[in-house]
Amino acid sequence: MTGTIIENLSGRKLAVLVTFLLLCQITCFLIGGLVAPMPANVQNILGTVCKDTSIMKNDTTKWFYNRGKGKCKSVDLGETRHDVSERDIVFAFQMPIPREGETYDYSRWQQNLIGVLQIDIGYHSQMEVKPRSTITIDARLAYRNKEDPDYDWKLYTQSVEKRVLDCDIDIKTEDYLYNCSHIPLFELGSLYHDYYLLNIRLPIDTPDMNAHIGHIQDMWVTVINQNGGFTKVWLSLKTVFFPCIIGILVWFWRRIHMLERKPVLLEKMLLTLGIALCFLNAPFEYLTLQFDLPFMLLLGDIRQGVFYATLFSFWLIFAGEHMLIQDASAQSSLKQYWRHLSAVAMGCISLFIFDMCERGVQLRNPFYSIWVTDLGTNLALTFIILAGISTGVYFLFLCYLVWQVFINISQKRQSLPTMCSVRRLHYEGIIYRFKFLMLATLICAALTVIGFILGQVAEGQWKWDENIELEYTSAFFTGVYGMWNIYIFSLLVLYAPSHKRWPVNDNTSDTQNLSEEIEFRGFPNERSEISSLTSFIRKATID
Amino acid sequence: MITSCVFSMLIFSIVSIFATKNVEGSQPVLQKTVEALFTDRSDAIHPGTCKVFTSSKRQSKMCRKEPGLGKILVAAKQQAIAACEESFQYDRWNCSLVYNRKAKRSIFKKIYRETAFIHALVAASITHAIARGCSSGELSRCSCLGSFQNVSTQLRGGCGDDFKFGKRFTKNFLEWKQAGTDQIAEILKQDVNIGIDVVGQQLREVCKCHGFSGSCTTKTCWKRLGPFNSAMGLLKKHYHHAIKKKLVNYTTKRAITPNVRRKMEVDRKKLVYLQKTPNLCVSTKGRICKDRHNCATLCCGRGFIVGKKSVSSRCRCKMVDCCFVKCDTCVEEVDFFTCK
Repeated sequence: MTGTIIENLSGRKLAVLVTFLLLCQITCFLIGGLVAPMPANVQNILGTVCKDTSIMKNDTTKWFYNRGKGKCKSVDLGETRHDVSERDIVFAFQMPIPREGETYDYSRWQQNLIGVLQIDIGYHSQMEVKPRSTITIDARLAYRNKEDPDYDWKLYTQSVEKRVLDCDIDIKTEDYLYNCSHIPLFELGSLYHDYYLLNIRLPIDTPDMNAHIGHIQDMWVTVINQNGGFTKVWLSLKTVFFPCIIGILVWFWRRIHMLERKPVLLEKMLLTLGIALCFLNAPFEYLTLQFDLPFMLLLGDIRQGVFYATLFSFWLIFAGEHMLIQDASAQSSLKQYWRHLSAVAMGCISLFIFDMCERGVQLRNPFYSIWVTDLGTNLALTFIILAGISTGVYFLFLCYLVWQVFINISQKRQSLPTMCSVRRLHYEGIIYRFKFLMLATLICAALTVIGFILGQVAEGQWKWDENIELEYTSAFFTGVYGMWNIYIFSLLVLYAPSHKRWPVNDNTSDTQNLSEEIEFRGFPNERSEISSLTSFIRKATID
Repeated sequence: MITSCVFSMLIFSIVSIFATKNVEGSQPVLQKTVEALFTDRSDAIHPGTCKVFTSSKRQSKMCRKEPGLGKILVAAKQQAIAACEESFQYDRWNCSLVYNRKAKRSIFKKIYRETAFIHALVAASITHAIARGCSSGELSRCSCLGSFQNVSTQLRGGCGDDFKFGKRFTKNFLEWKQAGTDQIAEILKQDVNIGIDVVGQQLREVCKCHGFSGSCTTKTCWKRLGPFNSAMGLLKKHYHHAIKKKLVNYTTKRAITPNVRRKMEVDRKKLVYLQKTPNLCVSTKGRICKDRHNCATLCCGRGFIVGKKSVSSRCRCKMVDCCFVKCDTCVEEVDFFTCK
């Protein structure tokens, strides 16, 4: 009779393993904190106002930029001009902006680009901005590469978008600025080219269009991109974890196949969890260095979603399989758990639909946002609330299950002294296994939550002394990422079936008695090697 | 023969060094720059690379390195003057360069309340303009401060906070550190600091979530530069709350009690000046005031004349455009007040 490795592992070996994993965990955290820079970079770009003298405004080969050969003539919006019509105004944003005397270009390591628009609107007593007025933006995005000449901008995408302006003002004084909330403008899933150029026009095709947006003084676009240095550290971590998890998965599966029985549900679940983690770990990002892959943001979301869904399902099933009261009927399968898992599925599906509606559509039009229209907002909110409710239901249910397991455990505890020593050892093994996972899971979850809250509350950078500074946000990301990898790694190792005959040292008559007893009572379906806890439990219930 | 020639050359060079030092004057660059920028209301081109004023050697070097700087300085200067004139329109001191219209009584002659204010104002304006210039890409040598990682390789172009650079650059440009340690220099340095800090106080933090499915697992925040006119509002408050210091001999050293120290800490956050402003009531005759309340102070109790005049003003502004204000001109009969 064999159990899992964790039951047969001596305390000393377990301590060594746990220490090793803890060291790995600390390394992950420190790599993020000391080596990696902050995860994302921000650049505030002030729009240059250019004059477009052409008559047809929909010519997408004509671009306005403020640096380099052929730059536009800038116009000062402060003074009243009569030779410039509102149709001739173009706000040009050339990115990235130069720093330290060098003209930088985007590197493909920077992965993605998110643009946020902020509009400075001056107060005029004669034309107050109505709350929640709509602004119509004609936005065009162009790209250029290093080897291209300065004027050779090529159209990347173009869209006319409506956004809601949310402005208020405290002191109503002439020319003071409104407090306008920022407007999400675009999200690029890949940063394939070297330079980008955004041209924004405010069309007035109908008399009502852009009529209640007040007097625009400046336009700012803030671009956020992943930090190249962070991507490098992140990808190196993935490159290390990926083969490790694959290796341990192969080892795990071989161990199960060496047994004479078929794998039980829990083992299948562990395997699925490992595969989901491999999917998350796979360093697909290397491909973006060579190819233009705008779907990477979406893929990243899906990968994380799949992983969390599997992890949540695993916890449910683990708790369910350790219910010490189960009927001895056939092997448990996933079908038995459909009610339990429906909450997870529901949450995942609603999040997936939401993501497809937002990031999926952004593949076609990077300026798209579901939050702009009222219908879209309602739809998005519906899906998010559904996902939230599912998560709530899930956690309530999980807590209920765990609570029940603990009740059962305490009941069994009472009858433990009356059992013969072998069966007592069995039960103690079961309880130990369950408690170990509970403890590990709780610690991991608590650390994640604490880390997240600390990140929200504290400053981004922590200083220990003059020389050692810790980039906390990055450390949190690599730490949490490493932690769940290590968590699943240790689950795969510790919950794999053991080769050791049970009990190893305790070859007393007691054991033989029990084996005989079991054999005598007869469980024809079950081979003697069944390692799953449930089998013991079933026997116990029959006893 | 040769030795005497060398000797005379040596004497000549020493004399010339002293002479140039004398020409440059004893004023530190800080004071000179502020004065030059604020005084010159013309668009004249001055010698040196900065063009907008006669720059020092160091400043010329900075202007040469950064070609866009000249334009930024012009913008900073105009912004400061316009903001000053607008917000002091109805005050006894109407942002004039001299007191009581007497050419000899320049506000830069001593450290008056106004002098202190102008130092803060010019510093604030330069800081603001530099930060803007960094954001628009007009200045190409801006760097990211406050990020301890290797900037050039890791960051690759950017940070959300151009104010920090503007602050450092302004201090460098005004040669803040080289201004000296005498009492006058200390006071002006503090005033400049307050001006710069006022711009910093106008920064607003904005955040954007862009994590998993757009959730806040990843949140990025940046500082948004406030408008200059609200910084001006704050500066004007500083002007009114400025404190006067006595000229002290540094030979008399007094023990610093905790009470004094606390007072010094508070004082560090205020504008400081040395000389009392002369009575400006003499020159407010004929000035226009805003309303009865304002007239009471502006006219120094001499009373005022209420007249009627037709004023043409903007009205019925129609928003047919995005960026330029287009209004009708309305003619209105309004009261207007002039000091007696």
